[in-house]
Amino acid sequence: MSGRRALDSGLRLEIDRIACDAYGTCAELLPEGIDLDEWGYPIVAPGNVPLHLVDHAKRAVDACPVLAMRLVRAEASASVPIPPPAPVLAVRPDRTEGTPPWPPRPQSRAPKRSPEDRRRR
Amino acid sequence: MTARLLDGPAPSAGAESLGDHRARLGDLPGRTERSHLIPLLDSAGLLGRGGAGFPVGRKWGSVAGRAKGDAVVLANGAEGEPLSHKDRVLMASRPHLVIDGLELAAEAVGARRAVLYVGSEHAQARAALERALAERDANRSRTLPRIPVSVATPPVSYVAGEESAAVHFVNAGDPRPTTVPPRPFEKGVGGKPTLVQNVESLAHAALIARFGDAWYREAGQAATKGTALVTVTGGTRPGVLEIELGTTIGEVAQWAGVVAGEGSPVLLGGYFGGLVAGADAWGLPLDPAVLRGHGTAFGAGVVAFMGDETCGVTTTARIMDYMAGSSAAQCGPCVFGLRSVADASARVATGQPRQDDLARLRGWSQSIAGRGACRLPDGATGLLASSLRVYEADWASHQHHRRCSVRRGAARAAS
Amino acid sequence: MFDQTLWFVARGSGIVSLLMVTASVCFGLLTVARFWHESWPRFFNLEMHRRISLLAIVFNVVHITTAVLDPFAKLGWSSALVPFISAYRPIPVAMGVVSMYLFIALVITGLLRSRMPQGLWRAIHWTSYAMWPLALAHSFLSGSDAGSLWMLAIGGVSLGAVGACLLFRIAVWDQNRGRLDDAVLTSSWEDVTRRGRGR
Repeated sequence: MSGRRALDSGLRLEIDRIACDAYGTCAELLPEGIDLDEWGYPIVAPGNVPLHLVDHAKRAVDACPVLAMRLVRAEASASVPIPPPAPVLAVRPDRTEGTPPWPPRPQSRAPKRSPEDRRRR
Repeated sequence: MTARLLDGPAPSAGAESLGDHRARLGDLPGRTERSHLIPLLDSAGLLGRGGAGFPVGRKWGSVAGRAKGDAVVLANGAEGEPLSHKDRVLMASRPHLVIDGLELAAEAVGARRAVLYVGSEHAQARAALERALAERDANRSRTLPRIPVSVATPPVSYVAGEESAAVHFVNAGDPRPTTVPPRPFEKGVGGKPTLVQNVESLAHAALIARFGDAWYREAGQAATKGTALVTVTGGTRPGVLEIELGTTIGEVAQWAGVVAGEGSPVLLGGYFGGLVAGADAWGLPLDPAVLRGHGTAFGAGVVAFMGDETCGVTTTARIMDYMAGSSAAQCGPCVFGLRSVADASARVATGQPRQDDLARLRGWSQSIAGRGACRLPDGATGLLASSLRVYEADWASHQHHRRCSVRRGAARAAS
Repeated sequence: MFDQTLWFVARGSGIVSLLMVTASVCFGLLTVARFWHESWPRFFNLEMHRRISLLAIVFNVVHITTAVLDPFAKLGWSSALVPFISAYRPIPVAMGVVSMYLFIALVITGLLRSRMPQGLWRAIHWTSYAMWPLALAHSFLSGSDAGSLWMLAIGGVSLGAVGACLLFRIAVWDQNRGRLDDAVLTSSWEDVTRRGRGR
């Protein structure tokens, strides 16, 4: 898919995994960056939120019924010394292999997302 | 094998008394020397021994930088990894070394309070530490400022040893991980900056304070310097061993009396770790930096020889079941993901696989990690991924032919 | 003619307020119950719940102001702010006053949710189970419309809507969080090996 390269907003999505209760609102409002796994929990695309999607990201954060999502400055967390990850044996993308990263800014109207959702209850 | 932490009487002799400890190691250094302890730890290059391997000096520095004399130091002796025994052995036989490290850390970061966090089932370790604290109260030396040291005993569980879980238990009696940020070094016990440090790391720090960074760096055969405790199983001499970092797996196998053929699978790091196998594997040095370069890790120093006679698929399935049951039940991807992994791998191991079980296991080994509040799902799926790689042929045989190549017969539940 | 205008506006805005608060409660229940469908997206319930609540403020303000200013009802500002001191139908008016205060608390804590302890937010949100019945009772007992058919119809629909949503919410009580503990406790190894040996 060709498009103008998406500008980096310097913000990234952070999820409180304990508070998250698989409501799935975030994936509805930001399908470009959030998918739901087979149990209804979010898989977030790696990296920062592109600039053209920040408003949608804010809306997705706002729409979580349990306030489990936040938008944080990417640099802020880099300054905090984080222990290196435990045995790095599995690749740790936040998204399943094969799913595309954040899409570039569309030239024209993006196609509607097809309603493939299975009912998860 | 080099003995430093375990120098002196054998661990089987029980806890070393305060008198013997002081006679053997001498006094702690004076105040001026102690004020340089954090840079000394940095130059020694001491890495944490709890599993993450984070530089100890840097960790102490980040707490010291935030504390205003009100920090807390927590010695992590929870040891929830079933294959690891080194912390227990260290606490039970060298309690004064651990408490030395605790008090030095408290002084260095400006702490007013210390906690010894010991798994409730580690009775010997706990008794040794409590007796040691009583001995020190009775024979209070003037060297270090006195701070209250309490003992916290969480139920032994895999997640209880996690940093935020330790803090949560001390704060609220709940040994389950919490969401970070804020991390313990920012806001921990009682909302104060808290240093959570493995007991072995504290013991090393106590020796470095006495003997210096150059002394510490004399040991070590590869890039990483110093010694470390490892728990070895699978041979005729299982137990806790102190090795120079960089000692190869093959050398450890010799010491432990391992009869399995060279190149047979070895589990490094514990249930949280990964498998290595093959002709070159036993030549790998047990060095955190080198192992990371090979896609595996030193972790909590577990070296478990799996042997040629055990079915790797069955062992992996059992471990996955254990990990799934250890979940704190707080995060969906961990609970449902690990349960799915455990169910599928149990079916494959016992010869009753569903058609897509193996394919889905491969998928789950990648998709669950990083989506929980703690690193339990990462560790479990990391082990799964390495098992799928090392025992690839066995997994395929179980899945597609329902045959176990080890037992040379139909795959079924072991009685 | 003008004298009656205020009273009409007070009654009308009161009824609209009731309908809005009813709708807000329904959408709130559907949010927690995770009701969604292909044509009823997940974000819809929470967004409608919030927006209708905010809009209801406007109609509430109009209702209270016109009711207080209306010469016929002889309510002063104090009657609208302190329960039970009204000369006109003290108990029904008090119900409205209490309901008003609960509504204010709900709106304020709703807007400031991300800045407050979640336990407190939840405790205050539970008072909506008191706020709505009080609002409904206030509508029927303090106004002069209670007997008319259309008012009864409105009351019936409100009661029915909230009742249906509440039943649905109770029916799906044990959502994800309850399932987490159950999932952890089962041991697949024992089940599978038991089944295997039984073959």
